Amino acid sequence: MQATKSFERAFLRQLLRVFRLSAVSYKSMSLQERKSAIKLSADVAMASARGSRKWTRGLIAKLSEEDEHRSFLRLILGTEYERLTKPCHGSWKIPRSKKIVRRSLRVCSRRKNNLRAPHGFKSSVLARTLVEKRTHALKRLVPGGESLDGYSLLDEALDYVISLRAQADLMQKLLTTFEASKLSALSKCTLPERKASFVGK
Amino acid sequence: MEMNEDRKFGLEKSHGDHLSDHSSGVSADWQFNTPAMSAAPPHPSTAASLVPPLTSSPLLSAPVPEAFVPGLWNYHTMSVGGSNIQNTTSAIGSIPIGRPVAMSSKGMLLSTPPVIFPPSLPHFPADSGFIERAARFSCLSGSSFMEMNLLRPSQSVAPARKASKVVMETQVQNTELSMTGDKAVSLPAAYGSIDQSRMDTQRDRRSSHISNSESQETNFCEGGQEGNVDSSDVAGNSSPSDLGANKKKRTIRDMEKDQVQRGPQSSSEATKDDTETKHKVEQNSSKHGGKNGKDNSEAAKEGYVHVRARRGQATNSHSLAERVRREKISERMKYLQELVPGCSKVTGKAVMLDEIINYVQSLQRQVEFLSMKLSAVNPQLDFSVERLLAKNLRHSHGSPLSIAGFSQEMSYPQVYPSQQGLGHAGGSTMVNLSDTYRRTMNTQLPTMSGYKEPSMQMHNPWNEEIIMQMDYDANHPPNAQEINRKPDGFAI
Repeated sequence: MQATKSFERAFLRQLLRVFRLSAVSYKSMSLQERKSAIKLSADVAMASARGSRKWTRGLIAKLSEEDEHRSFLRLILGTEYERLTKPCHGSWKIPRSKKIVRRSLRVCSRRKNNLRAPHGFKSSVLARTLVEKRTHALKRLVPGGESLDGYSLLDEALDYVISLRAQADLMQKLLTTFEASKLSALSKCTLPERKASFVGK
Repeated sequence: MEMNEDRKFGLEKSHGDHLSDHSSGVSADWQFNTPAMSAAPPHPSTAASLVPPLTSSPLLSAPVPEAFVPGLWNYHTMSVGGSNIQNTTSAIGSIPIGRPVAMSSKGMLLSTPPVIFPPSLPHFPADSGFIERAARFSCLSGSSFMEMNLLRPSQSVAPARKASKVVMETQVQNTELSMTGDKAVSLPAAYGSIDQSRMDTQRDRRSSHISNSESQETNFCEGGQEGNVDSSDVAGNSSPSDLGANKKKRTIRDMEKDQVQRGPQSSSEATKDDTETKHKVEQNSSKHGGKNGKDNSEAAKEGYVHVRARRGQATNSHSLAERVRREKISERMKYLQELVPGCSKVTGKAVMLDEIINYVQSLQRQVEFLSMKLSAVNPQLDFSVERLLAKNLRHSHGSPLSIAGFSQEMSYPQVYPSQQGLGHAGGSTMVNLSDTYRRTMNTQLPTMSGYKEPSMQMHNPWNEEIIMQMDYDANHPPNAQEINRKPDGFAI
């Protein structure tokens, strides 16, 4: 299963656009800051290239938690930002108090366990709890996955995995291109220019 | 219609064409059945001819009926084509002929053409899926909502179509469609028109496929629909509660409301569909499914699930809904299994989920690592190498360098800011770098092509539009200046 070419294309375009927009401030950053900036750019590019999916909304929401990122996101996405961050109309899920839900789940599961496995420890119970634990872990991993049920969680996870893979591939390609250019450039540089480039580092 | 599918299905996936049968008792939650691709079966014409194809249905490799997986079947029928759908659905529909049909007042309407009626219903998802996609691609080409279709193969992809690809595509499609079903209110106006057009074309398609039966059926339904509008609405409101806490049913109600809002024609059709599907669900749940197993055609646009109880299985509406949900999840898990490397042998939800979690974590870590490396590679270059690459490579655009193409489009956004903003003392350095880069590109092509060629190939078709965009950008520098000078979000 591959990401479509149009997605990769849009992704690359967005990524370069983001890099261009943020390149001004790169000089004044330390390595860590630059790394987080690049990561942010990549995430934003991925989300904007993918369009409107639950995980893209979740990702943008997570990224906009910090105010400084929010202005950047707004810049990148333009009108899309507003559209992507407003709550999705289709989610008919009523906001529920987590405490109440957890309590009810506990009661229900206890009742179920009492009914189904009164005679001891059943493997199905173990399997179910394992699955639940892992589902929660996946929910935490996939952006915006907290509010999804099993099926749509898997769906979003599928989409997210494909996009992540495309993102990693793209960045890898970019990296090799830069490294190649840098290598060739340094090898052909005259001495004063090489000195200048080293000084700049 | 098959041409449409070929155009749309471009995901590359190798898929074994076999149907492995699991009896329902083997694993409660897991059924890794893969639908078998089949050649287009003969077009069903009469009821008598439908019964024999039952056991020799192309979708069954073994005459074990319980193992027939409706979820997979649904998507699979979409892939195989209209005639196949008709055949299988007709084949399935022929089952209740010999069975005593429990007649409710609503069921009475269905009793008369039990053979011809069911085939129409499963046409919904198939046709609606096709038409929806066609409508989407045509209507929403400009909007970013089309971005949703990014994972779907683009229409220009070569029609090297395989069952699994198609299944995946339709899966994604169906999830999208079900999502749209959920987001009834938020659908843009285009969707409203799409739904209408879809329903119209749906009806046209249906009538064109099986002329006799279809026309009879539609006539019949229309005749019965007026008389049953009220009862269907009542049924519509009661059956969701009957079928338990199934999310789909809630979406049915929402879709009903939404479709009622859209207009009399569509609403009549919707209620007719609702009537049919609800009747079908009730009918199904009231009698045992035949040897052919389950008919789970998901009317994607309505979010319906047509479920037939399998032989020897509980026909409780709750368990039916449960089974539907389980099979959908297993379908998704199958795709994820193929996506995550090294998971083909794994069975079981927990282990699969574990693998998926590990894979997602590893991908995220990889992205972080790559971003770290990228930041290390460009401490002062500031991604400006590309702009000079672009300038130089644009001149040599005629060269067949695929790498040049890649670099070119990588650098296209950098072209116009080259004059200002980033111009600094290192400009001369950059020029030299670009020259040397060009030379090294030419010399290094043989060495790098081995690695880059396969990955760069895909960027070649980008060249034209990138060039155009570059020209456009070059002609409109003022905007670039503004954007460049604006303080960016990385304020420290």
